[in-house]
Amino acid sequence: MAKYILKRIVYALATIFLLIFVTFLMMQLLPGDPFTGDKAISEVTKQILMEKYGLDKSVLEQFWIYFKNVLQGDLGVSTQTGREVTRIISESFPYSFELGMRALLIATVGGITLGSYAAIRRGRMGDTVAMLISVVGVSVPSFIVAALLQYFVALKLRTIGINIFPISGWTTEFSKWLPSIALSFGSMATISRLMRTSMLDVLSSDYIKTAKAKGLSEKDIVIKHAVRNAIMPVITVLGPIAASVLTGAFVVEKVFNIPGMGKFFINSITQNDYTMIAGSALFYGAFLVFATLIVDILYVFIDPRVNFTGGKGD
Amino acid sequence: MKKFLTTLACFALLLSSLTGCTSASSQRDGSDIVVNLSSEPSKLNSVLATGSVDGNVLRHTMLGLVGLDENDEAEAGCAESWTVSEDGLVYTFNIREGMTWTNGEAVTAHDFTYALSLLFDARSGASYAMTWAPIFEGATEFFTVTGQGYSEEDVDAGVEKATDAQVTDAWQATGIKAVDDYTLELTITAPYTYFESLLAFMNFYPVNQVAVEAAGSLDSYATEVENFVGNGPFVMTAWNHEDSIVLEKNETYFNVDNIQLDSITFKMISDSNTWLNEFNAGTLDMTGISGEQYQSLAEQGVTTYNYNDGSAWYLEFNTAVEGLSNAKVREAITLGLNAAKYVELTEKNASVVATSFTPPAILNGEFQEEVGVLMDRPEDDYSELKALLEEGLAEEGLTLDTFSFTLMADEGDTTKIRCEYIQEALNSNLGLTVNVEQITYQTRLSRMTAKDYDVVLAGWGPDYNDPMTFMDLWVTGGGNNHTNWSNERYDELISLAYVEGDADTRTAYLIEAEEILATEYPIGMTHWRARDYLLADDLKGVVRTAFQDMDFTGAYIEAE
Repeated sequence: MAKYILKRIVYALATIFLLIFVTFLMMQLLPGDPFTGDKAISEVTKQILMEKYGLDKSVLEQFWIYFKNVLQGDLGVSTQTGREVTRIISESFPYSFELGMRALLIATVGGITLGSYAAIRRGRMGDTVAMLISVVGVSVPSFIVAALLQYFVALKLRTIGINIFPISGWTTEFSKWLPSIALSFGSMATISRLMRTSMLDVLSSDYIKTAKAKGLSEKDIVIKHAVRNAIMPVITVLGPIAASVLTGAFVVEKVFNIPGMGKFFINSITQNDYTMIAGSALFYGAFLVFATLIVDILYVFIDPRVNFTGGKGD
Repeated sequence: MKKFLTTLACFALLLSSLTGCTSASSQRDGSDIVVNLSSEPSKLNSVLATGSVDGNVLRHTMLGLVGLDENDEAEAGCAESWTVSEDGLVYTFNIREGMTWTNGEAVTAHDFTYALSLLFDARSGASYAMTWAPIFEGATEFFTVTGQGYSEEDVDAGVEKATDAQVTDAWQATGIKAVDDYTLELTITAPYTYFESLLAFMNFYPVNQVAVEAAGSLDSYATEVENFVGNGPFVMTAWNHEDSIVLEKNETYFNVDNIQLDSITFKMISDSNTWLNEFNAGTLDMTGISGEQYQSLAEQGVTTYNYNDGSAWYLEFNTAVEGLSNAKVREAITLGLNAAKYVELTEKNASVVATSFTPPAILNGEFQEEVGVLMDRPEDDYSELKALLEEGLAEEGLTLDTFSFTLMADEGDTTKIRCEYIQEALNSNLGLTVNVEQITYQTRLSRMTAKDYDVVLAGWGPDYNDPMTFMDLWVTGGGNNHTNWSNERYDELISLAYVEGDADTRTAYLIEAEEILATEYPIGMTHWRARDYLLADDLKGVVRTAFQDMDFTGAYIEAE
C-alpha cells in the first residue's frame, strides 16, 4: 500500500510540473502581450515593462526563473495591477472554496436524497417529480438558475415584505444560500440520477430480498443496507464533481458579485496577465491534483477491493 | 425536453430583466451612498493609472493643481491661484498651504514635481508618459535619457543605461520646478489653450514620496488600502478587491464644509441583471444600464438619465488592404451602413449619429458646431453609393464579386449584434460581402497594433478637453494610427495646430483636418456614444460628463 501511495504522490508532482510547463507554453501562444492597451505606449516603455516582468527572456529561461520562484512560494506580481499573485489567491480562493464546498454539500445531500426517494418510489408520482427536477438541473445552466433565484427569491420576496436574501454579495449567512444553491443545481441533478440507478440495482439484489424476508422495516432496509451500498458509485464521481464545482463557479460569482477566484482568473486571461494566469492555473491545478490524490488514497481505505499492483482487482 | 426547458428558463430570465423597475427607495443611512463602479480599478497609482474606472475613484480621493467644475472648466484645486506669462508658456502655481495627505504629510509643490518626475521617467513604465511629455519643456528629453539603454536598438548598439548624474541633469533641464514649498513653476512647449483643464487629469495629481517609499516601490504603492494615501475630499477606508471600495469624508480636507456626503461605497458589480436588481431593491443609488434595459425602462416610464461620454465610434480601415486602399470604397462603406439605423438597433439609447469625427462633448459642442455636418448619409436610396463603391473597386481592378473584407470586433453578444447589422446592411444596401471575426479585446488590440486586419470596430475616448485629443490620432506613424493611412497636409495641419497660439487660426487648422478625414475616410465614423444610468430620486448634485465619468464631490441627499 505504501508503494501505491508513493507512486500516486510522484504522479501528482509530475502532473503539476507538466501543468506549469504547458501553461507557460500556452501563454506564449496568446497573441499580443500584457502591455498593449487601447492607447499606444512608446516602444521604450514597452521594452522596460517587458524587462521588468522578465518577458524579454526566452521561454525556457522565463520558465526556469518562474519554476525556481514557485519552489520558494513566489508566484510573482500581476502585470495588470501590481499586486502579488499569492496575495490575490489567498484572499479570493476562500470565497470560491466556501461557495464550492457549500454547493458540493447541497448537491451531495440533495442528490442522494432525491435519487433514493425516486428509486424507492419508482414509477410513481414521486419518481417522476424527482426526475423532472433532475432533468431541469442538468438542462438549465447555473447562471440562469442564479439569475432566477436572485430575481424571484431575493428581489420579488421583498415586495411582499420578506427581506431575507441580499441581491448579491457574500457577507451574511443568508447571502451565501442562493449562490450555493445555484451552483449546486447541476451537480445535484447528476448525483440524483446516478443514485437512483445505483439504488434500483441494490434494491433488486438478493440481500435486500433476504432482509425483507427477515421482516426488517423498510426504513431500516433503505438506510442501513440499500443507501450504504448504493452510495459507492456516487463517492467515485464526487472527485470530478468537486473539481467542476470549484472551477466552474465563475458565472455564479459574477451574478452574485462574489470576489472569488473565478473573477480574477477570467479577467487575467482576457487581459493577458501572464503571471496571474500562470499562478491561477498552477493553484487550481495543484489543488485538484491533491484533491484527487486524497480521494484516491481514501478510496483504498473505503473500498478494500482496490488493488495496489495495477492489475485487475479481486 | 432540454431545449424546451432552456428556452423556458431564458424566457423567464428575459422577463425578469425587463419587468418592474420601481423607483429606488434607498435604504441608506444618513448621507451614505452606494454606487456601481462596474469593475475593479486596475491601478490607483495616479502616475500609472489610465482607465476611467481608476479615474472615478481617484477623482474623489485625490486633488490636483486644478479641479473641474460641472462644465469641465478648470477651477482652483491644490493651487489656489496661478499666473501665466505673457507668451503663455510659463505657469506659476500658488499651492494652498495647510493641506495634508492622509498620512499626515503636508501637500507641497515638491509632491507635484515628484509625481511628474515619475510620470516622465521611462523606467517607471507609465503608459501615458510619451502622451504628455511633448507638452512640458524638457520632458521628452528626460524621458529619452531615462529610457536610454533599454530598447532593442540600444542593446544591440551597446548603449549603456544613463547614470544617476545624467538623469539628474536631464531632470534639472526640464521646465518643472518647485520654486519653494508652495510655489510650482511649469514651462510648456507651446501656449496650449487646454493646459489648465488638462492638469485635472489623474496623471498630474501629486504623489507623496514618503508613501511611495513606505510601500517599497512605485509598483506596490497604491495597490491596497493600507498603502494608498490621498489628499482629496474623501479618504479610502476599505478596498475589497473585486467587491467594493469604501470612501469616507476627509475631515481634514480644506473644503470639507462643502462636502455633504459622509461616505461613498463603490460596488464592482459587472452583471447587468444584478445591478438592475440591486437598484430596484434600493441597495444601489446609481448604476449604469444597458441599451436593452434603457429601452425597456423608458417604455415603462421609469426616469433614466444619460450623458455624452465624449467617445467617438467608427470602423477603422486598413488602407494597405487591396480595395480598402481606395477612398471611394471606404466612403461608400461608411455612408452605406445606415448609421441612424445602426445606432437605433444596436445602441438603443441617446447615442447620436456622427456628422464629423470630434464629438460634441469636446469644448461643450463649440468645435463640432463650427465643423458642421461633413457627411451626407442617405436614408433610403443607396444606388449612388453603390455606384461610388463599384467605381472605387474598378480603380483597384476589383468588382463586387471579387471584393470582400473581414470585420474584426471584440467578443460579446452586443458586439455580435453590431457586426451582424453591419454585415446585413452593407450586403443589402451595397451588395458587399462582409465576413465577421470576433476575438478577445486584448487580441484585437494586438492585431490592430500589428496592422493585421481589414476593418475593425473601434472607438476612442478623450483624455483632455480639446479636439486635439482626437485629431492627432491619425498623423503618419502615430502609435494609435493603425490604418496605414498617411496624408501630408493632415500631418502639417496637426503640427501647425499643436503650436498655434491664436484660437481662431488653430480651429481653422483643425476644421480643415476634419474635412480631410471626411474626404479620405481612413475611418468610417458611426456615432458619438451616450451612456445611460439610473439615479436614486433623492441623490442630487451628481456630475457626469465626458471628463468626469462620476463626480460626487458636490452631491447631496435631498431631504424628503
